Order: sequence, then structure tokens, then C-alpha cells
Amino acid sequence: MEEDKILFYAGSANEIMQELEKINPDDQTRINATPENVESGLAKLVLTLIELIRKLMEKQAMRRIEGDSLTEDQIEHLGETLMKLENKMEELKKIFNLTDKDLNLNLGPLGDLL
Amino acid sequence: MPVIVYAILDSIQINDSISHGFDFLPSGSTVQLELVPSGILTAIVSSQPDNKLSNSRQEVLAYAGIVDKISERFSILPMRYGSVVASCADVTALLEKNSESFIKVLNQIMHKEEYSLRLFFSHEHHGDVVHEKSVDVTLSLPDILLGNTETKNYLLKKYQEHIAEEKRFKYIEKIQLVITQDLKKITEIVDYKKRATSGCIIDAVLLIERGAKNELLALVAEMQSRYPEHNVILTGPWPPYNFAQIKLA
Repeated sequence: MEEDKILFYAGSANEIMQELEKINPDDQTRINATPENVESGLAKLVLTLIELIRKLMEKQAMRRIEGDSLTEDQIEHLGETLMKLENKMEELKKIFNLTDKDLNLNLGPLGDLL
Repeated sequence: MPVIVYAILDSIQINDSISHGFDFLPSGSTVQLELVPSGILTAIVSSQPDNKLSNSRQEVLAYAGIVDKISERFSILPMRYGSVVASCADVTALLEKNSESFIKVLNQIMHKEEYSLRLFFSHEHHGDVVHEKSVDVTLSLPDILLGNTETKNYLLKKYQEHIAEEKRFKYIEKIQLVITQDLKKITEIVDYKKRATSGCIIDAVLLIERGAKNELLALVAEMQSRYPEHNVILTGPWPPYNFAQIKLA
């Protein structure tokens, strides 16, 4: 960004720059599938979607806990399911050499997917 | 010959100075701008002999720089990089066909400028608001999560993160409400974008009257003094990209 466009800022310049870089993401946040890396490009896309669904499930579970509508058995079952899902995701990320930062998509004006 | 379109404006704004040359272009720019008038609208274009646009960052920035310079002087519909039309005659046809919608948008942005206002959490100055784990949620734990099993401990951790996130959202909503009221003193034309990062509290673009810049600056300074624990950044003026959404017929 041109310096003359910054009319006012206060606080930590470093922090502001870091946040601005996150808002204007680099190529890492895009699905970059080419004939050479189509496998990892697709893995990134698929895992991103799975991660989105996993987080939605987690949110839904928290709402159910808040609603106090679960029995002891259901709580144990829910906890085990979510825990296994998270562990499985970690395994898959390692297999495809992906980090949490990779599992996101920038949707332009809509912001980040996750 | 194909042309790149930079901006569309109403012809009334075109005066003698612009019709004799674009002396306000960025220094070092070799682009030869031309006017393509069509009734009450005029397009500012340059020739693109080989009809090939480079995808280089430098070219994109040079294009944006020219649009920026034009918008400093005139109220324009700014075009985006890649707006190439087959010929000047096609530009004329485009202006004629879309004149009604172009004029409608131009009227909305006339004599106004776009600014971007962002408010960020600061880890350095107010870490406890940011770090979800540090939010005290011990008082609101549901009974069902009490007990020392592996799954309950896992769910408890997740629940605490969830509550902390909810608290953070409420805190953000509160600040947004105050800032929305503040901005209303200057303009009603504000567009709040989805917060793109977890560190972002407000990401807004606003359209204000040309000449109201100092008023906006004072308001932002006041905002910063009210929230010293956060980082505020105001940038602009920008071409009104966010308020000049046009649909071509």
C-alpha cells in the first residue's frame, strides 16, 4: 500500500502490517492445482471442506451442550466422535503435508472460509 | 484497435484542462490516455495495440495508479484491470447501452471519496481480549461436562473455547455499534465487510463528501483515543471501487 494512502494509524505498525497481510492473502491461500501437483491441490481442497464440516459439527455440539439436552451416554459418544474426527484430520494433514494455515480458502469479499 | 478502459465519468466534468492533456498522471507513466465521449458520458481509455495484458503485479499497480490519479480529480466509475474493449466504437456503444445505469451509480458517488477504516485487536496492548483461553468461563460450565474422563475433558476444552469465542463476538458487536453511530455523523454510506481475520474487529469502507477528510480524521482520532488498546488504521482516498458496482447490459 502506498504510504500516502495511510492517513491515520495508531498502535503497533508491525501488528497492523501482519493483519493487512492476512486480509490480502498471498498465493498460499489459493487452491493451486497444476498437472504436476494435482493430487496435493485436490487434497487441500477436500480437506478444507472436511475441516469446515468438522467445525460446523463441533459448533452444533456446543449448542447442544448449552441446550442441556444430552444424556451422559450421548456426551461420551459425542466427545469420542469429535476427538476421533480431530485426530483423523491431524493424520490426514500430516500425510498431505498441510498445515492449519493451508486449510482455508479466501472467498474474496466474503472473507476466509474458516 | 483494442483499448483499455480506466474510468467512466459524466462529460460535464471534462473541462479544457483535461481535453488538452493528462498532466496529472503518475510521473514516469508512458500511457497515452484518450477521451471517448458518448453523449453525457465519457470514457478514459488508452490504446492496447497487441491486445495482450500482462499479469504482472507491476502492470496491475500501474493501471490502479492511473485510475487513482483520475479519481483524485473527478468523480468516476473506476474500472478494474483487464477492462479491454475491442475498439473505441465499442466503448461508445457500451456507454450508450448502459448510460442509464452508469449515470445512476455516478450520481451516488458524485463529489464523494472512498475511505477504508479498520480496527484490529492488539496482542501487545490487550492480550486478554484476544486470547480465548484466558477468558474466565468457569462459572458457566454445564453440569454434564463435569467429571474426569478423557472425552469430558476434551469437550470441556472445546466448550471453553466456544464460550470465549462467543464473548469475543459480543465484544466486537458492541464496538461495531458505537463506531457505526460515530460514522453516522459524517456519512450514512458505510459498507461493513465480513471480518476476514480473527484479529479484525471492523473492516469498513465508507463514502464521504470530498472535503470532509479532516472531519473523518478527527473522528478516527477520537475513536483511537476511546480504544487505545486496539489498532486503528484509516486509508484513502480510494477510487470508489466498493460503491460503483455496475452491471453491463
